[in-house]
Amino acid sequence: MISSPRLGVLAATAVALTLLTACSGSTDEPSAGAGSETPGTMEVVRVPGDADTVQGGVDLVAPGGLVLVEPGTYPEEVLIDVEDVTLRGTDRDGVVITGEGSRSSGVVAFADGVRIENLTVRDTLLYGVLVTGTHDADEALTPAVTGYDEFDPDQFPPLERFSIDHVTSTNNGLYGIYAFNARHGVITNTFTSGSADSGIYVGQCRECDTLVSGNVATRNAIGFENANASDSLSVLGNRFAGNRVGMTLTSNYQEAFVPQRGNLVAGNVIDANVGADSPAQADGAFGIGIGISGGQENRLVRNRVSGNLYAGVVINNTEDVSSIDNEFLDNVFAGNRIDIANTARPEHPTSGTCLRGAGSDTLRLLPRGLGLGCSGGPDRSVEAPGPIDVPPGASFLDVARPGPLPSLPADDTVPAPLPDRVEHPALDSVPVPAAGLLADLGAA
Amino acid sequence: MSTSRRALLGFGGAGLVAGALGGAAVGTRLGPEPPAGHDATTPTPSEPESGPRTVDPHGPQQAGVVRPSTPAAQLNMIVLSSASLPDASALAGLLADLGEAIAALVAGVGLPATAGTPDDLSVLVGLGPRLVALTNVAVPVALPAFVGSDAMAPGLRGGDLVLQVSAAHPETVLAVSDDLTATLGEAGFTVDWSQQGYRPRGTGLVVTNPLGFRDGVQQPEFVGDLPEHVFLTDGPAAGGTVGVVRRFVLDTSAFARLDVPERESVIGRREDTGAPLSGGGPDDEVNLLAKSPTGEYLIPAGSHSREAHPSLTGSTLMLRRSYAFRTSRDGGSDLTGLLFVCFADDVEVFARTQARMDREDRLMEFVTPTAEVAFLVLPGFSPQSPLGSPLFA
Repeated sequence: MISSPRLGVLAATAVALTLLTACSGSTDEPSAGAGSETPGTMEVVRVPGDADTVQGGVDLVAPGGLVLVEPGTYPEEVLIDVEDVTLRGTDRDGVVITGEGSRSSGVVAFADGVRIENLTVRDTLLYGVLVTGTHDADEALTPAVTGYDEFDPDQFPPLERFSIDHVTSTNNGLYGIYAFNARHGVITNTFTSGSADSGIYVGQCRECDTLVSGNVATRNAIGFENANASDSLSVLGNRFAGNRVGMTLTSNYQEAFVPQRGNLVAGNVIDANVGADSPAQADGAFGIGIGISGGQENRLVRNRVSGNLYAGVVINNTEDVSSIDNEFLDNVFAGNRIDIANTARPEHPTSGTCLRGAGSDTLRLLPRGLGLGCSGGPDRSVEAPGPIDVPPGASFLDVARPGPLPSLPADDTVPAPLPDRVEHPALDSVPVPAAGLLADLGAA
Repeated sequence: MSTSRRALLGFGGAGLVAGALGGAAVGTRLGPEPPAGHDATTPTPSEPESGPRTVDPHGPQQAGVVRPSTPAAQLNMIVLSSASLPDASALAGLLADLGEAIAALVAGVGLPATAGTPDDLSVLVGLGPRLVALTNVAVPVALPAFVGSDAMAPGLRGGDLVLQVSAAHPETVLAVSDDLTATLGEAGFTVDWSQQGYRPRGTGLVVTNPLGFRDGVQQPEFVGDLPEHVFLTDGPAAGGTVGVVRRFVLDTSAFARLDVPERESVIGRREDTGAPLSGGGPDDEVNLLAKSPTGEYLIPAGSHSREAHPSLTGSTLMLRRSYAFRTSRDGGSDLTGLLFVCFADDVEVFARTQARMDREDRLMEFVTPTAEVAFLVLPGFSPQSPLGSPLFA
C-alpha cells in the first residue's frame, strides 16, 4: 500500500504546527514556509550552476524570471511561489523531477502566472504537477491532503494564469497534472500516463477560462477528469486513449461549485479506453469513452469516440445532480458496444440531451432514440448495461513509461508574463480528428 | 483547510498543542469535552460530595443533545401519538407543564422511589410533524420512505411526541419514563413504541457498536460551546434541532461469519484498532481519496465509512449519539440492535445520507430498520421561558 494517506495526515499536522508557531506571538521567528521568504533577484537562474537543486533555483529567481534546468534527475518536491516565474527544462525527456515513489508531489505552483514546461515529472504519491489557489504558506490544501472540509472560496481565491506545456508526468498516485481552484490557464502538449486517478484533472473553478489542448493521456485510470470546472473550459484536440475511462465531466460534492457545466469538448480522439496496463478506476469503471455524471450544458463537437467496449458515452446523475442539456454535435462514433447510454436514476433524470449531425439516428443509443428529439425534456434512461470483464489494476509505479517525446526548442529567453485571458481556438477551426491524432507520441 | 486544523484554531490553551502533536482528529476529541470558557452556569457531570450528578435541564438548548458531553449510560426512547390532537394553546400548556415536570424530576422533586439516584438524568422533548404544524415554525421534520420503511407497521413510522430519557442508571430511566408517559397519557398521548438502549464502551461520542467497530468518530466541529450545523439558529425554534431516530436490528451472526478483512471492508476501519483503512490512528478521519498502488480505494467502495460520508452528498456532519440494545425473546435468539440517534439543523442531511446508504452501503445488508421517527427538538427552556413557549409566541 502507498503511504499517501499517512502523508496527508502528517501534512495536516505539520500545517497545524506551523500555524501554532505563527499564532503564538511569543517569538518573532519567520515561519518555515517558502511563501514567507523574500523572492530572489536573478532574472535567469541555471540549474545546476547557480543552484544544485530545482528548488534552490526557484529560491533565487526574481518575479517574472526564468529557472532553466539542465538534464539530470532531481529527487525533490519543488514549490513555486514567485509570480510569473517560468520553470523550463532544456530537454523534456532528460530533465526528470522524481518523487521516487515516496514523496507527495513533483512541482507545485501557488503563485499566479507560473509556466512549467519542457520537463518530466514522475513517481509521486499524489500529483506530478499541481497548480492551485488552495494552500497555506507551504502546503497545498487539496482534498487529498485535508480530507473533507467545507471549502470557502472567499478564503482561497483561485490561482490566476498558468501554463503547463510540453510536460511529461507519469506514474503518479493520483493525478499527473492537476489544476485545482485555478483559472486562466493552459495545459497543452503534455503526456500523462500511469496515474492511479487521472492523467489530467481540472477541478473546482468557475469562469475557468482554461484550455486543455494537444495532450495525450494514456494508461491512466481516467485520461482527463473534470470535477466542478465550469464555463469557459475548452478541451480541444487531445488524445485520451488506452485509459480505463477516457474522460469525465462530473459534479462532485467533495469539491466546491457543484454543478459542473458549460465545457466545450471538441476534436478529441477518445479511443479504446480498455487499457489493462493501468491502475484500476476505483469505482470499477472500464471501457468507457466519456462519462458525464451530473454534467450540464456541455457541448461535445466533432470528437472521434471509438473502441470503448463498455460504452462510448455514459450519462447519469451524481447524487441529486442531474445531467442536463448536454449537446452532441457531429461526433464520429465507431466500434463502441454502445455509443451513448443514459443510466440516470429516475429520481434525478437526465434531460435535454441533444444529438445533432449526420448519422446521429444510426448510433447505438440506450434507450433507443436517446437525444434524437432535442426536445429539451426529460430523457428516458436504462439500467446500467451489463458489466464487461475488468482486468486487475496495475501498480501506478509499474505502468510502462513512454518513449521519447518531443522537446521545445528551449533557450534562456525570458518570456513575457502570461496574459490575463486565454485565447481559445475558434470552434470552426477544430475538425473531426484523424483516428491517429497524436498516436505516435510517446510510443516505445 | 483541514478539519483538524480548524478545530485547533477554535480552541486555545494547552489542549491545542497536545492535540496537534498527537495528530488526532481533534474535532472529535474536543467535542465531548466541555471547552474552556464554557458557561459556568451549566453544570457538567461531576461528583459532589452530596447529591446526584446533575445535568442542568435549563439553557438555550435542551439537555440531551450536547450536554452531558458524554451521553448518559442508559436511555429510553419513547415515541407517542395522539388520536385527537390538542389545539395550539392546549399544546403550549402541555409542553410548559412537561418542562416543569422534567425540571422537577431532575432536581429530585417528585421522583418516584424506584428511580434511585438520578445521576446524569436528562429528558429531551421533540415534536413530530403533526404537532409542529400547530406551532408558528415551519421546520420540515418528515422523512421520505427508505428501504425497509414500508415494511414497518404504521405506528412504527413517525409519531407526534418523542421523549429521550437518559440517565446513568436503568432504574432512573424507567421510573422517569413511566412517570412522564403516565402524565402524557392523561393528555391523550399513548406510546407507539419505545426502546431501551445502553451506551457501549467508548469515550465521549465514540463508542464500540454491537458489530465491534468504533462508531461516531467523525462528529461536527465545535465552535465555542456548540457543534456546527446542529442547532437551528434563526426563528422561534432557534436553539432547537432536528432529531432522527432509526431502530436497526443487526444480523450480528451473518456479520460475524465474514472473515476479518471482509468485515473491515464493509466498515472501512480496522477491527482491532479502529483506525481507518486509509491509515492513521483510531481517531483520524477517513481519507476517501487514498488509493492503493493499483488504484483501488483504501476505504473501499461500498464500505460504510465511504458511503455514509457527508462529503459525497454535500452534507454537513450530523451529531450522532447512538445506543445499542438487546432484546430477549422467548424461544428464539435475542435481537441485537442499534438505536441510531442523530441531530442536525436540516432533516435532509439524514435523508440524503440514508438514501445513499440504501443504494451503496454494504452495511445495510446486515441491518433491518424496524422503526423510525424524525422530530423537532424544542429549544431550551428556563423557569422564565417555559418549554415550547417560543413556538407559540
